[in-house]
Amino acid sequence: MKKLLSLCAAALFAFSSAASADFPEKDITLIVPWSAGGGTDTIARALAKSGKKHLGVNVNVVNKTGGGGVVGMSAAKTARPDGYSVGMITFGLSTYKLMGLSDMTYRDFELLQLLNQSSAALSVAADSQFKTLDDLMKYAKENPGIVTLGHTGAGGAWHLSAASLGVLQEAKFNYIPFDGGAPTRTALLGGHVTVAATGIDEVKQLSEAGQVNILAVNALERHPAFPDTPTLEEAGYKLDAPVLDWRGLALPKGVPEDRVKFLEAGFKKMFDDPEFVEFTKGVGLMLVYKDAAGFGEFLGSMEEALKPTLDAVGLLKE
Amino acid sequence: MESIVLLLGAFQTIFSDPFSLLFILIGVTAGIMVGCLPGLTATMGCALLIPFTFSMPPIQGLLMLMGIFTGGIYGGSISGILIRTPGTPAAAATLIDGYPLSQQGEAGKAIGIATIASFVGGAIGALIMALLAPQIAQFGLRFGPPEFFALAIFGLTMIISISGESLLKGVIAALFGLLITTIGFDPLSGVPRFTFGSENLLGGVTFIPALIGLFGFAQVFRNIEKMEIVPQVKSKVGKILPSFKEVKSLLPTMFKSGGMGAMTGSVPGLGADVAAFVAYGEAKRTSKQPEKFGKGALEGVAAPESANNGATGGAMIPMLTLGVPGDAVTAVLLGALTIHGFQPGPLLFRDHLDIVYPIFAGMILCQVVLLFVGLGGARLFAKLINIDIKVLTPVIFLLCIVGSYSMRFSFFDVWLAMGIGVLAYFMGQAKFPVSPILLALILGPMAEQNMRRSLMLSQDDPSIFFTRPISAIFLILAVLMAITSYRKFKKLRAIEQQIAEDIAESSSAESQK
Amino acid sequence: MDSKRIDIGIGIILCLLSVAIYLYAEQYAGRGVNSYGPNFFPQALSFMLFLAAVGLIIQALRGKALKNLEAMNKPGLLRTAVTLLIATAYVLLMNVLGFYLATGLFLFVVMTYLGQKKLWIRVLVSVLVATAVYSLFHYFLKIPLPEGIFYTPV
Repeated sequence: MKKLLSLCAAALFAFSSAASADFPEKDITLIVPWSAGGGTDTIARALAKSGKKHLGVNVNVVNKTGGGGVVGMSAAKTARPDGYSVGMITFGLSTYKLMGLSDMTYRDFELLQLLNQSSAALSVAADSQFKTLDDLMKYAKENPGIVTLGHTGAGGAWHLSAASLGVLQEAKFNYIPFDGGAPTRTALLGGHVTVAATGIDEVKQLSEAGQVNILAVNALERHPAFPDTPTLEEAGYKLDAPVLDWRGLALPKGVPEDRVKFLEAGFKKMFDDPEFVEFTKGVGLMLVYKDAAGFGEFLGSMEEALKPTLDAVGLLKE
Repeated sequence: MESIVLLLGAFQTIFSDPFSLLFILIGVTAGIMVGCLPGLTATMGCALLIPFTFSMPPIQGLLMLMGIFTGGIYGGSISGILIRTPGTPAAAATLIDGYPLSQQGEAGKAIGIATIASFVGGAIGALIMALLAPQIAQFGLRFGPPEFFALAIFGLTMIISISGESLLKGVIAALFGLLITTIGFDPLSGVPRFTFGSENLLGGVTFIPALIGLFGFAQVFRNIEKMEIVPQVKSKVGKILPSFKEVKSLLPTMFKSGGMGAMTGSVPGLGADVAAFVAYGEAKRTSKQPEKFGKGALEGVAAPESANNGATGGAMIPMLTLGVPGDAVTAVLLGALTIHGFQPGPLLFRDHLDIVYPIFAGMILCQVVLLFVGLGGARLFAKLINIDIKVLTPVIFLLCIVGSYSMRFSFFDVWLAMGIGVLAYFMGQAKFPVSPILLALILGPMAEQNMRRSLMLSQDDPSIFFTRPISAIFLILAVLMAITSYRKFKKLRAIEQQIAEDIAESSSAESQK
Repeated sequence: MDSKRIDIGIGIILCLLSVAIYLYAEQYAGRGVNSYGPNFFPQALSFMLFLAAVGLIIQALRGKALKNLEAMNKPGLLRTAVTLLIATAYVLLMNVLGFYLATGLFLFVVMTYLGQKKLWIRVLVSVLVATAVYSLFHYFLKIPLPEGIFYTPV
């Protein structure tokens, strides 16, 4: 019975796609699971800018927000698989199942490509008593629970990134969750927290203006826009697998092969568009391309790396 | 002094290109249209029009977006006044007195006052922004979690002013609203609460569908129910705009509310909606005729309208100086600036005064354009409610459905809004006020998150709220506000009781004759 | 209509509701990093709601309830319920008929039901409003609308 049904559905589908042989013949919708004006949204809009040039149709960004990204990504997963709905997927997808928020994982999507990876920066105010990561860690070890560390939300990339450092190095911070990057930054500037864990691009301008001091970046290599900021390892606190924030593009399962190929090639061209590259440089965002296979591999290893960290902060639910 | 010279220079830049003014005009007009449709907010209008600005020079693109911002916040009150359905959350306080006015046939006057108040408030906000932005931003940094909690509590005391006839019922409504805000993913602990396994509920009860349900759907149901009993109200014709004398008497309220709005807006996390409620409560508390509030007081329209447009200027301050958006709309403007290659923050003031001051000047011009477009359109808008109710009601019903859908393209939100509408309808029947629910929805997450955040900072020590000066001041203000508003409330009840008894006596005297 | 019985009824429902919320929120205890975890706010609120609801009952029993409730208007209520049903059908049908067709139909049916007599007004308004809303959302604001099964791209 089930087979028959799916056959019928396939037939219906074949009919509808045969009726419209040219793809794409109308605008493509890019579903962003975060609100307008935020980091992910801005990247999506900058990317979509060159849609007309490379795909022949406009790419319209729509924001479907809520539930720490679950609502929007779930909408992309269940969108009509005709290639006209593309979803932006982000870090949360690596944690939903582990945290018991949703059963959704990256395996439920037809992956297109990875767009970027960001690494966490630990920053302090410019007039802070801590000048290096070493100062901070030593103080935190001697005075457990005293140093306040602001991050952008429980279970988010920067919380986990900072927590993994604390857990592995046995330094006890007082973690204070804020609601996103902007409030975390303000709390640091206002002196309400001692350290802030955010994406390194989120503190780019403040560090250039001399208002904050980035102690270290939680990555294997230095960030090209911050050549003077040491990695954790260089600062003396080695972590094997840094928690990285990531953003990528995906389709719902079941989009016809030729359309997937077309979108893959098209979005790669948009990704390589000089204007987009220039934009990301300006805001300090590190572009990292991986094709569908590489993207899947990366996400698989990500899940493995996150389990122990989530467990350590008490958020693992399995 | 230097800033005034720079500001004048910026006006010159804008006027040198006639297209700039055209873009402001387009922006303001489009903003008003988007704003008065329920569900389409200023935030959404800006987000949707960002792609249009790609091909424009950055300043002109920004002028258009700011026009939408200004027009959108204002436009929301038009539908609030006419059909008791606020187009944007910021207009929810305006309708408390605006709708009774339009029920008395004074829709034109209400819209006229709203327009003038928006202009006055907006201009104050824009001037404060242009002259004092860096100083205010610096002060704003001193607001940490305990201060935000104290502010939220202060805001919640406005419940007393918007509770209508029964304070207890108002409090119950507010508690109910606060409980609703705990539904969904808790960003502080990473725990989903009261979601019963639903992914849609993980995002919580979203604000816009709730707004449309509480006001739009509930009003549609009421209209349909009473269709044959209550005759349709017709707007007065002839001279509909407010007289100069009326406007003059409202000017002090407008100035005060505009200033309050700008200050409220400049605190990140508080937007035009909170500003409007606070100004409404304050106007009622200090009014010489508080008994008129809720029944069509002109001050009750002027205060929130002046405050919410004042807040637009205020909200730009932290966005431009710190890169921290003051509210949802400025978050979108921040994104737009970033895409155009200008990253807001401290460096913008150092490196890009060529863009900062035109933004200030543009904000002021937006208010002037708003005044003309609004007054020009008031007569037209006021006539909208003269359309046959059997045609108008289905159309409003449709707009409510589409509006709740379009926030996040979700049918779940439509069902949610309709459900809330049914609830709000019965609440109205049992004399439970709905405005406190709305205020609770706005302030609830702010109160809860910052309370728990503060207690994390202090490691469970509640004295953190009283030992920090700003937090302590706001908590004391909240208590004072609660006491004085409560006294006023008691006095009002007594007056009304008296009037009711007088009427009863005179009618019984009549029947004896 | 006297609101005494209504207020007492609502008070009892709210009491039960607040107890239920309090107990349900107990499962979130201990999930936070300090003693004020995710259970604190809902439990504190439901406690206050309980007190307020008891207050409402007492107020009603002491005869202090507001006395000016409007009487239920049965035909009006029925009319509202039927319109709500039509709206429900409309939202469900949207996915089959597509936004444009379903919207036009919805407007026409509701106007007819509410007693708009002139056929030309009903037809004209349905077509005009559906077209205007569809164009605004689809072409100008680019909001994705349900396309339905008869969709052909334009």
